[in-house]
Amino acid sequence: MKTDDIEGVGLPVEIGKIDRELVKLWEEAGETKTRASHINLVLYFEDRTQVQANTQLIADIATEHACRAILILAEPGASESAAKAWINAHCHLAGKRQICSEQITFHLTGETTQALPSIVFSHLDSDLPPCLWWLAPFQRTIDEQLWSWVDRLVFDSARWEDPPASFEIIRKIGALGDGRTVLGDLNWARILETRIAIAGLFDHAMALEKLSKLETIVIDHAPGHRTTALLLIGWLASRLGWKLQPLLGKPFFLAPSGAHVQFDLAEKPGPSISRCLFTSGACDFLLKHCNERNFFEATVSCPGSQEHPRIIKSGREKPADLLLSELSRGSRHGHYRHALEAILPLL
Amino acid sequence: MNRAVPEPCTVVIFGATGDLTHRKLVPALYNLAVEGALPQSVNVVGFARRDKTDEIFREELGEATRRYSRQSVNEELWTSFSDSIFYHRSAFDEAAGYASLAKRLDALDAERGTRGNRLFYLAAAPDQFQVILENLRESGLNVAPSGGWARVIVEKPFGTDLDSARALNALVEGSFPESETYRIDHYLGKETAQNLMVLRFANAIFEHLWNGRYIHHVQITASEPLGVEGRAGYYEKSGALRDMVQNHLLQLLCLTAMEPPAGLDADSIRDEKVKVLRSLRPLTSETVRTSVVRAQYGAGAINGKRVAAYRDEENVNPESVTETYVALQINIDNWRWAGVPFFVRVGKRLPKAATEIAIHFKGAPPVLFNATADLPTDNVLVIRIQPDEGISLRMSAKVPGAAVRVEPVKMDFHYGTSFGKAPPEAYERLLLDAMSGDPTLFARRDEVEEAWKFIDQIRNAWESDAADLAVYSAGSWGPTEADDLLARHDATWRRL
Repeated sequence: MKTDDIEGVGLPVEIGKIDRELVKLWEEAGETKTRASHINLVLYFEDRTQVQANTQLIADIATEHACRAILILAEPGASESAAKAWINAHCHLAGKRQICSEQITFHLTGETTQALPSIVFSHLDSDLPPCLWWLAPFQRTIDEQLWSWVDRLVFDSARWEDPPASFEIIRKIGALGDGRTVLGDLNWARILETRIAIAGLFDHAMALEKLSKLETIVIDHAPGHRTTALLLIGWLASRLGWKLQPLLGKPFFLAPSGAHVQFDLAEKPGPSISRCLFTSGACDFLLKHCNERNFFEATVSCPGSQEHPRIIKSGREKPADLLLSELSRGSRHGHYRHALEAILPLL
Repeated sequence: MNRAVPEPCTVVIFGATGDLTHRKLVPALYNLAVEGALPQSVNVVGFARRDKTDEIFREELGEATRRYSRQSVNEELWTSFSDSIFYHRSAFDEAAGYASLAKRLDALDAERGTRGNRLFYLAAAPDQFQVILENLRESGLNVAPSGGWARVIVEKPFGTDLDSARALNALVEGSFPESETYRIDHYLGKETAQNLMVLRFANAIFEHLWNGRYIHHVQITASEPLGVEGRAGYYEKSGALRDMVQNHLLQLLCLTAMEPPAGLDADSIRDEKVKVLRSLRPLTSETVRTSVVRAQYGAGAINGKRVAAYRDEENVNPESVTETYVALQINIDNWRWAGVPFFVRVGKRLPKAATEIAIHFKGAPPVLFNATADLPTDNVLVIRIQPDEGISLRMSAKVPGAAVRVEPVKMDFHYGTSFGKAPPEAYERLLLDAMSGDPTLFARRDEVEEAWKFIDQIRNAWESDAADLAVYSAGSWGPTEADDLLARHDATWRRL
């Protein structure tokens, strides 16, 4: 993307006059447009090719979550230090009125990227909870004042290049301010439907009995989604009380019964999770993504019982859908941390 | 309730070539003229030392008004208005200058029908007040010609401590009676500050909740991203406590905390404000240490630009211990406010320009929807003094959808959009009130002295122990010590 593409993101404004310009924008709109907002949604990213995609994402989000969106493109490595800003609005029709969310876009380069906290603090819509989606690698130095202000921190562990280090940082952020910040991993949102589908596989009383005796798990995941598959295994391990055994040789889990649970991950092109196979004795429990279609086919095969394949909604893949799913949640993800802790040595 | 009509008069501004005259006073008078709020005959006479003609003075003020007026300048109206502006050259200590001023005012009265009414505006540096007031008295200008009135408007600071405030009050009293003395605190002229009383006493729903039974604490904030901006000479001596807390913020606290006045006349309201000041819990060196945080900004960034530390600003002592930030807990020992802390904070080089009062109500019991809430659920009523004057109420609401999910939302009232026009500048209202003889929005002598009495306790404690100056980065919301102050009361500063 050329610089011109960033310039086209909205109306250029002086940073010190953003609030005044926004007020003017809404006064000029008169009664035809209503500004709405119930969260401050801050997106921090360092990839300049993502400006338009993220602006579109805000437009998609705004139809369901009216917000003040603050997009921050930071380029800490740039030789020039500069800070620029633009404003724009995303409107959609609701009845006879247009409901609008406002977006402020910042482009920070060089040293000005260190001014991130002041940029965020200066432009929040007061009283509304700030939600920060961090789309860049986490910095090792934690700015406590910034992070302790965030009500909800969203990230995507599937993008982590150094998962153990990133998780350690997340853990520290989560502990700031008496652990007030809600952590929202889009990777966890990504496997929500998969988790529901897996739970469904064991709904039947006969199947439920096999759950505590699982022997092997095989998961096919898309390239770059190993963490997604591990999170899924971590979820099962934490819920079923399995303990990861020392990583000498091939890792496995030890069930409370003392049985070993083996697992294999295979990289396959396709959706983030395309296939999960669970074996317990002579029974197979299979969840398979139907190519090109947005559903799973779930099959239980046990000797002596008839197969009843079922069709189940599969997971979300688009970033806007994942973020909407995360924003639609009001509370903490009770099992997420436990799932992550269960597979931490494997990351 | 209609306002009093201002009478024809001459406004004499001492310090006519200064910033206040150019940025605030003359643009305010022009806006009043445009809106037809001024009487037909009003003269503005600038009194200053520099040599210049009426024409040059008018030109300079014209430029300033075009730049600083809240509404765009209509050249025809400006020309007509500026015909009533005059310049009088004299040093403040030049007796002959006052004698010639008296003659000139008499002539203007005769020519333009201003009836001998004079409003003297002390917009000069405080150290000039004494000489101006004494010369006004010596020249007899402090006494209006028969049938007219002579009033004085005194700009803050009203002293630098209780002793100097008493001395200044005695000095003013030597020339003008208290009834003709108008101590200006422009915060009181702001529409939202005035609306505080309307909100409290014209609406049935709030007053019942306005006490320690329902209110957890109150936060009063005045923040600005600006640094000292060339005012280091003044600021080094005053600091945030004297510059802002003694006057503006304690006035806002009084309006928030006072009992309903017996009437809407000036003295009934000011009596109630004084009662609040007298109920402030006295501070000791020990309580100053635990309930007052003073800090100074270090280097940082504002709006993406690097800014210097206070000690590196021009004309600031590199070892200065002047506070650019103060956060304090104030307790009001009366029936209504027992157990309700008022947290006041003021600072320079903070991320946003905002002045507001936030009433934090006690939370609902931690059951049902509040049993597992992650987001704040306490109701907060915010009165925004500036900018974007208005009122908002934060409450919890169910997010539409099948799940029961509760999130904070806010109901917001903006003056600008609800009334279709921006509220007038504070100086417009205050000048008009002074011309009309209504002192309600001006500080009375005892208010000023009671406020200093409280502030002096803090200054004295600081002077006996200079070690507790915290440092915060420019562009942050202040030092962590200020967060700790609220944390002790299970509260956090509002995220503005």
